[in-house]
Amino acid sequence: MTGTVAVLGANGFIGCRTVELLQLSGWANVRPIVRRPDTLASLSRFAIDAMVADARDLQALTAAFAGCQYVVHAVAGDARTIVDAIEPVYRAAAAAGVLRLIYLSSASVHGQSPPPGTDETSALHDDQTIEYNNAKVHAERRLGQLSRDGAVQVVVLRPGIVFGPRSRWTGGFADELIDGSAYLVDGGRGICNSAYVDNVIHAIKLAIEVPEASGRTYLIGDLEEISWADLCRPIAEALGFDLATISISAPLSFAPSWKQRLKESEGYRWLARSLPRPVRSGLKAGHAEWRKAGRNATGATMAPTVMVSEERALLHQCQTKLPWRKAEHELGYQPAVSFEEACRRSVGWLTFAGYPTCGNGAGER
Amino acid sequence: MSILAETEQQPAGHREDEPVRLVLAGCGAVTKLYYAEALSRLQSRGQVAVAGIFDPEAKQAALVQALLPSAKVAASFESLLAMDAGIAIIASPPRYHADQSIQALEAGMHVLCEKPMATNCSEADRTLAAAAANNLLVATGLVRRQFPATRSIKAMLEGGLIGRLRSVSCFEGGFFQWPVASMSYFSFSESGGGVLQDIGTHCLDLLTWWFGEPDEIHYADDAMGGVEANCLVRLRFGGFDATVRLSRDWARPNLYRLEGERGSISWTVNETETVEVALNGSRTTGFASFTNADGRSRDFVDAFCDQISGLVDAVRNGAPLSVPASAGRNVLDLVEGCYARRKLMDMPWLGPEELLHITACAGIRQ
Repeated sequence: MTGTVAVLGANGFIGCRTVELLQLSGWANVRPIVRRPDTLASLSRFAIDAMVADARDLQALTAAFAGCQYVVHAVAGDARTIVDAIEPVYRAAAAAGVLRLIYLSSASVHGQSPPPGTDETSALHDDQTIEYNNAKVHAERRLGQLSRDGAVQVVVLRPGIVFGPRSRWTGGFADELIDGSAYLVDGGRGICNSAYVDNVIHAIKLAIEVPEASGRTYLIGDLEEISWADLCRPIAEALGFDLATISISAPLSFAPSWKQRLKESEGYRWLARSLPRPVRSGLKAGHAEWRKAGRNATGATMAPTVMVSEERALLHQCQTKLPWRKAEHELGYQPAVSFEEACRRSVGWLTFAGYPTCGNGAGER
Repeated sequence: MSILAETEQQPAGHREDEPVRLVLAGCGAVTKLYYAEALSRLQSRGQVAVAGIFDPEAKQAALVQALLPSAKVAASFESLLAMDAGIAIIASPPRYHADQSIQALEAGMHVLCEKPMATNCSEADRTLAAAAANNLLVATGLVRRQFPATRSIKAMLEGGLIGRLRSVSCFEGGFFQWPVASMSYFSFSESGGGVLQDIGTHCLDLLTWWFGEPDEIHYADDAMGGVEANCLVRLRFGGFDATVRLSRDWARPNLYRLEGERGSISWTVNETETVEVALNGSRTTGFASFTNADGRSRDFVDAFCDQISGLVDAVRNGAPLSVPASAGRNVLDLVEGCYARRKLMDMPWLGPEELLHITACAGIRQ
């Protein structure tokens, strides 16, 4: 038992699995921290000491971190939240006497398609076209500035494409296949810098344990070099889809569609938050039926127009396998789960979640 | 146990043309989202008058009073029951349902209790006994029975439209977004369970309403010391199985699908008026819209209006309750039957080290 580990952003995909794994393996006492009580629904499977605190609320965070030796900062959110949460989290950790803060950054600080030779020493740029990347760069820089006071040890992890149960790359891709919006640019031949979620959590544990990690930054990934098609194929096969049918050419430009602009607008977000759940469900169902009706009418297996995002297009064309040699040498990191096993577990989760997988027998132990 | 109290005609306590006075306990999410609007509509139609509301948190009560300005805020539940009213709506957290229902019955009020009517069958039985002893009515808030869509499905099944059933599958849920006030909502003592006790109550009620009592129950969930976020129920009804998958952490299309030997019926969860019907041998799939006998279109809040009006009609005119408390008690019995047969769901993403500990965790209830 390592002590008490606070997991901030415990309702997110990585945070949730971190709590689950640490709790079930008995590796540490875990304290999930979430922004709103309703987001504890999934973690309430465990008898667990959870707290509610906004990652931007210094006072609430300090109370939530009390008694914790370690904090894993796994808060997701928009660019502003990513940056704004850094200082309160660091200062609250210092005030609560936390020994070490593990910050989950992202390999995206190097861009979605980094040049060959990229590693932890490569210069970071905050003028990238994708806002998320710049936010992560700013967050890392701010954390670096704050940690100069030595009040809390800081370790930064930069995992690549984190996939697994409840992730956008697993469940989200399955949804896209089913609703006809899935695509792979150039057949998904580009390199996917995958990091199975359990391997990321293995790195978190090492970042907590290894004294020399303090003040260091590490890229984290899987052992194997895989392509995007490799990542997507097991999901497609489990659901009875052929990846060849979703390959598209790289688009020349990325002007946001009216739908993307609408979704990103404040008004849409406010509306989405304000509508009662049955109304949202009804609208979603209506939209799904509308899409289905459209597909039936055209007889096509895919939606007539697929919205290609700049992020995905760059990712799918990546030619660089990011190294994790530094983590290997300094932390003793070796991916704990092979890619093949990671895919088996991810497809197993799809079956659990109720997807129409070929072997769906979501049953009892 | 007697259900006499649910069917016996009651003496009218008020003149026919006067609105029925009622009080409401609990100003949490279900009240803010649905009951307040439903009561407001019924008040504007002159059917009811909300005499008072109560919530232990004054701020919550004030928010609801802003929606129902004529209602007085009671300082305590006892003060609420002292008000001049014939009906009490209990919309507090589930662990208060039975006790508050019983107190209201003993104070001489008929009761509409939000689902679940109690956190277990013995509490439900106490409520029914109190109703019988005081010769008053208890209705339970299984609101989906008010939807024209679910009523039409029942009628279609009874009429044999799709022939003998072969299978039924239901998926419900997604990321949990109900605006709960505190973490205690996710405890067995507060809510009596997790996703099964929550949305599962609605789902199992519809299935038993449509098909009767199941012959066999198989149940598994993912609780490991707390309350389940996911569960899988398999019910055997005569010649077919119904599979129910409920989730609080991942969305799939919220759909009920009933496959019969002559066709199928599909219903999107909480769709009040529309069902999809496909008949074998026909090339067309129909989306059929239904209304209740009065022909009016109904939204989700109207269903809350209907369940309140139903109790008012029963109190005033002796009409039978559309959803008597015995239905609430039956579904609790089924929920308890599921929990009694509980197994752990297969979670194939867990690693070997986790699997070593999982059985120990799964045996503990918070």
